[in-house]
Amino acid sequence: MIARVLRASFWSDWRRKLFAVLNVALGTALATALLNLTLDVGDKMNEELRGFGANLVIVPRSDELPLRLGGVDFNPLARRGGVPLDRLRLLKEIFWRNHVMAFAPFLEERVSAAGGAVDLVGTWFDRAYPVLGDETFRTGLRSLNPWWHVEGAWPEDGEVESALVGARVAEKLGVAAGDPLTVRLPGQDRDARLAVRGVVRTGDGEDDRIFVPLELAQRIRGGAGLVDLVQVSALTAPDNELARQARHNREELTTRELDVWYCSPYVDAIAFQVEEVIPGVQVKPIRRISESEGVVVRKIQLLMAVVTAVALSCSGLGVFSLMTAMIASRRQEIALTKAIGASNRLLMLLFLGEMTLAGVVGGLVGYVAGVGICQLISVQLFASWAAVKPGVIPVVVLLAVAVSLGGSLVPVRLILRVEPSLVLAGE
Amino acid sequence: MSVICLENVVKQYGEVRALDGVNLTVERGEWLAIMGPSGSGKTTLLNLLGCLDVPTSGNVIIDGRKVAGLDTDGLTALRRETIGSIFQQFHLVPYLSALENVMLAQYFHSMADAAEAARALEAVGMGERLHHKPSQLSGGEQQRVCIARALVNYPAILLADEPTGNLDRANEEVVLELIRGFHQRGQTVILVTHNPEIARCADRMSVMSYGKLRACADASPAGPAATGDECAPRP
Repeated sequence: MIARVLRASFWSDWRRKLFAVLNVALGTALATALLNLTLDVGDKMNEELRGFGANLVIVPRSDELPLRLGGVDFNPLARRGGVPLDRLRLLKEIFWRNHVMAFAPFLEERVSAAGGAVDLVGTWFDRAYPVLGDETFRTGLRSLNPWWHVEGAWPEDGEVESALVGARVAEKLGVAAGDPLTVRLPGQDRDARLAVRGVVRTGDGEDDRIFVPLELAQRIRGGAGLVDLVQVSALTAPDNELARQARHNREELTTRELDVWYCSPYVDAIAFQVEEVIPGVQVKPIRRISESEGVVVRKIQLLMAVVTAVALSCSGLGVFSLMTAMIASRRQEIALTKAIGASNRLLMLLFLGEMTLAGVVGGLVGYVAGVGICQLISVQLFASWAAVKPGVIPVVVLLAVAVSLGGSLVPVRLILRVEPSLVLAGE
Repeated sequence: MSVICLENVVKQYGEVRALDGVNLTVERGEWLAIMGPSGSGKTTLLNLLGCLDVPTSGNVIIDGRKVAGLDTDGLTALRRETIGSIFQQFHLVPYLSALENVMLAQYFHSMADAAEAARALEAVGMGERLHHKPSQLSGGEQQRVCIARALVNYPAILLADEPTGNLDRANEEVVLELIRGFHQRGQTVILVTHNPEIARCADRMSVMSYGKLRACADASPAGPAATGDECAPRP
C-alpha cells in the first residue's frame, strides 16, 4: 500500500517533483563531474607534468658520497662507477613498469670548442629500446622532454656525429642548425666534427650543453656499458601521509602498510623498486616536481570539494523550499490522513520517501549529466577523455538522497504543526 | 454502557470559550444528532469526540479511555481504532482511486486488504467505480466512498459532520440509509446537522448553543425541544 501511495503521490504533484529532481540532478551533476575529475585529476596532472621532464634520477651509489665543497666535487669515487646501461631494460620489468613513461641515459664529458670549455652530453634522442617480450619502447631525450623547443631538427640516434646544441653555446660559438661544429676531445689530440641538427632553448642548464648520441660520448669516455646517470619520467601518485611516513622511516610501517605503499605508484615506491632491480645505484626522486605535483593536485581536489559542497548545499536549499511549499499545498491531505488515523511519524516517512525517490531519480539523472560535464571539462583542460568511474554511481546516488533528505528534514517537521481540526474546518 | 462520556468539558480558544462545561453521555449503539447554529460549538465538540483536539478542562472518555492522558500518538491510535469520520466536504485524497482511499484507512488501522475494501465500496453502491479518482466522481459518490472509508475498519463510533450538507435530495437519502444501516448493526452514531429532518432520524437530539448543550430531547417529528443543560440518554 505504501508503495502505491508513494507512486501515486509522486506523480500527482509531478511538476513540483520534477523541480525537486532537476534541483537534485543539478547539484549531483556538478558533484559527479567534480568527483570524477578529482579521482582522475591526479593521473591527468601527472600525465601533464610528465611532459616537463624527469622526476627520478638514477645515479651510481658511489656518486652519492657527500664530498662537494664550494661547488667542487672532491669525491674520489665520483664518475668511477656508473649506471649499467644493459640494466635499463629492467625499468620496464618492475611492478610499476607501465608507469615508466620515458628514460634516457646521460654520459657527460668536458670538451673544448672555439677555445672555451663546454659540456658534451651523450644520450639517447629517440631510441627504439627492446623491453620485456618482443615489445620495443621508444624513449630518449625527446620523450623525456616533449616541451623542449628545438630550432631545426632533433638528431638521429644513428648519426653518431650529429648534435643538439644548447642556445647559449650556439650563440657563443656562432652556430645554428645545419652548421658544422668542431670540438676538441679531452685527453686526445684530435678534433671531432659534429653536424648541428638543432638548437635547443630551455632557459635552464641545457642551454649550456651540447647533446650528442650516446655512442659518441662512450667513444670519448672509452668505457662502454656504464653511464653517469639516467633520468626517468614516471607517472606517480601524489604523496599522502603513508608516502610521507614511508619516506621518513619505512621500518616503522606495518606489513600491511608496507604492502600498500609498495603497491602504490608513489615516487619513492617506484624509486625503491628500481633500486631493487639495479644493484649499485641510488634512485633520487626530483621532489621539486613530485611535491609540487602533490600540492597542486591537493589544492585542486580541495577546490573541487568546496565547489561540490557549495553545489550540494544549494541543491539542499532548493529542496528545502520545494518541500516547504509542497507541505503547505498539501495541508488538506495531511490533515485528512491524520484525521483517519495516520501518525505524524508515518506521514513524515511518506514525505521523506517521496523525496528519497526524487533523490534517487535526481542522482541518476545527475550522474549521466555529470559524466557529460566531466568529459567536456576533461577534453578542454587535458585534451583527453576522463576515465568514467562506475564506483562513483552509488556515491552520487547516496549524495543525492542525502541532499534530498537533508533539505527535507526541517520542512517535514511542519507536518507536526498541521492541526486536522483546524485545516478540515477550512481555517 | 456508555461509549462516550463528557464531564464538564471546557474548550477555550484565547478569549473565546467554544465549549462551556459540556456534559454528555452516549450509550453504545445509540444515534445522537447534534443541532445548533453556526459557531455554537458543534464542530469543536465533534473534534473532541474524534480525538482531533483535547479539552482545556474536564474529562472526555471515549470507549473507556480518558483522552486527557493521551499524547498525540495515543490520540491517533484511539482515533484510528475507535472512530470513523464522515465530513461535509468529503475530503478524499485526490490522487488515489476510490479503492485506494478506502485501503488507506485500512493501512493506517492495520493492513490494507483490497478485497475487503472493494466489498466496503460495493456495500455503499460504489462497486462499479472502484478505480475512479475523486475528481471523476459526483458529490454523492464521493460521500459514499467517504462512508465506506469510515466504516471499513468497523469503528465503535461513527462521527458525521453535516454528511448531507453538500448533497442533493436523492444522495442525501442514500447517505442517510447507509448511516441507518450502520446504526442498525448496533454501532454508535454522532451526527451533526442543521437539518431537523435528518436529526429526526436519530434516537435523540441535542442542541448546542453558545458552547453549551442547552437542550436535549428525544427526536420526534415535532423537532427538538429544550429540556435542560445536561444531555443524557433516555432511561
